[in-house]
Amino acid sequence: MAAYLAVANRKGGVGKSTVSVMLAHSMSVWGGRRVLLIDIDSQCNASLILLGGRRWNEARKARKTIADFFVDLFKGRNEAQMRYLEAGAGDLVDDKGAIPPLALLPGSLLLDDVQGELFMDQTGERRALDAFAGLRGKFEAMLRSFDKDFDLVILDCAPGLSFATLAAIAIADKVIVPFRPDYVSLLAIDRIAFIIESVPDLDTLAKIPVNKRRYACLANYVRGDGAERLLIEEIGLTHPLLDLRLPQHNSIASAFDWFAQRRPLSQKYGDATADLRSLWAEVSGLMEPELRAVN
Amino acid sequence: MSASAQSSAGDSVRHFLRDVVLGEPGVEWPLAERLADRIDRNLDRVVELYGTRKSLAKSSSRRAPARPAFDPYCFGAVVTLERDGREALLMRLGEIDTAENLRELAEAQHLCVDPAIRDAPKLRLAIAEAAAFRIADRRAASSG
Repeated sequence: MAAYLAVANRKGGVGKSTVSVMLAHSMSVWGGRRVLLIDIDSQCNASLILLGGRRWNEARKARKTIADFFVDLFKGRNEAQMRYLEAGAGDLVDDKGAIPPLALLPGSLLLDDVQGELFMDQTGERRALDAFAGLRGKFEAMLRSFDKDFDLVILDCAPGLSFATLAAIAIADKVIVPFRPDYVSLLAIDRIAFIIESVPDLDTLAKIPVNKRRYACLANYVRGDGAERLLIEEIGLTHPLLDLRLPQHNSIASAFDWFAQRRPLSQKYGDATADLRSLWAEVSGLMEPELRAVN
Repeated sequence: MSASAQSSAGDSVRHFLRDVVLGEPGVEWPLAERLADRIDRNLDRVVELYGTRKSLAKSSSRRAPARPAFDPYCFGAVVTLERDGREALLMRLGEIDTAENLRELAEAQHLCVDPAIRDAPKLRLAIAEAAAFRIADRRAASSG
């Protein structure tokens, strides 16, 4: 049974895809884990980072995307689920020069439309609320269907709350919530925390001890000024925080350019390798019980 | 400065001022004469004040101890209020002496205080109120 790690925040532009890919890279290369990244975001950034434009386009033409996967399973077409995956994703080699065990279920620009259509199909059969629950349940089952073939499934969620994102948050053992240290992010974290912990407000959330929460927040794009420091401190009063502060770093941004020739991880990340290593170490610690159960 | 040197400096300034006033365009002769005489009579006081100002400027520049710049992020008003309560926040704000620094803290931490408030005690209360407002604002935004 795989461990499930979602990377989610209703707010856009906080670095969900970059953090997802950093974790996929480091967990597969340094951790030696069989990693599957599922791209639930119809912007498809993680897919472009891991496959490059051409290979992602080929995957789309071959109907190997998350939208195709959902539609086929809903319509009862019994394709082998592994056929939707791109094995050997990424442009990395491990320390021994081998291709790391990293696979991708590619994203689709049509995912939002597909979810709407599937919902309409469901409401034809049942009332809206039942249909909502039914659809989300089916997404959950489909996302879980890769259990046996991987150690870790990383779910790169879309901003906003689609059926697929809600399903991903529901099945995840842990959720990483990246955020930019600004005031609006504080409010966005409150809201995603309510969804993750299924609570209605801050008072109810406060009753769950921080170390029992299913999520941890990650400060991203940190420049290090005083205002940011105070805001992160404020977030830490209410929410669990990772120790790492990911800086606004050119090396991280440039690590996400697709490279046709595979490279070692340290070469790809350059100056940001130390940050990647810190992220890997801290999230590995957070996921330790689940990853131990996989072994 | 000796008495004769001071008198000589006074004469020079007196002549200079008379020329300035008399040379002002649009000022008629009787008025110019009266103003020149008035300044002339008060020149000793002007020289005295001028000397004091110069010595003050000198001594303050000598004192100018390199006071460390105020850090408006030295503590978080919202965090302190939320974690430790209002009294604790007011106590921490009490460590900041000047209204100028209090205003700087409020500005940097995006705490909205009335710009008309000038004195430190009122500013401290206003900052505590603004921090409470921000916490309430967040709770309102995250309520159902």
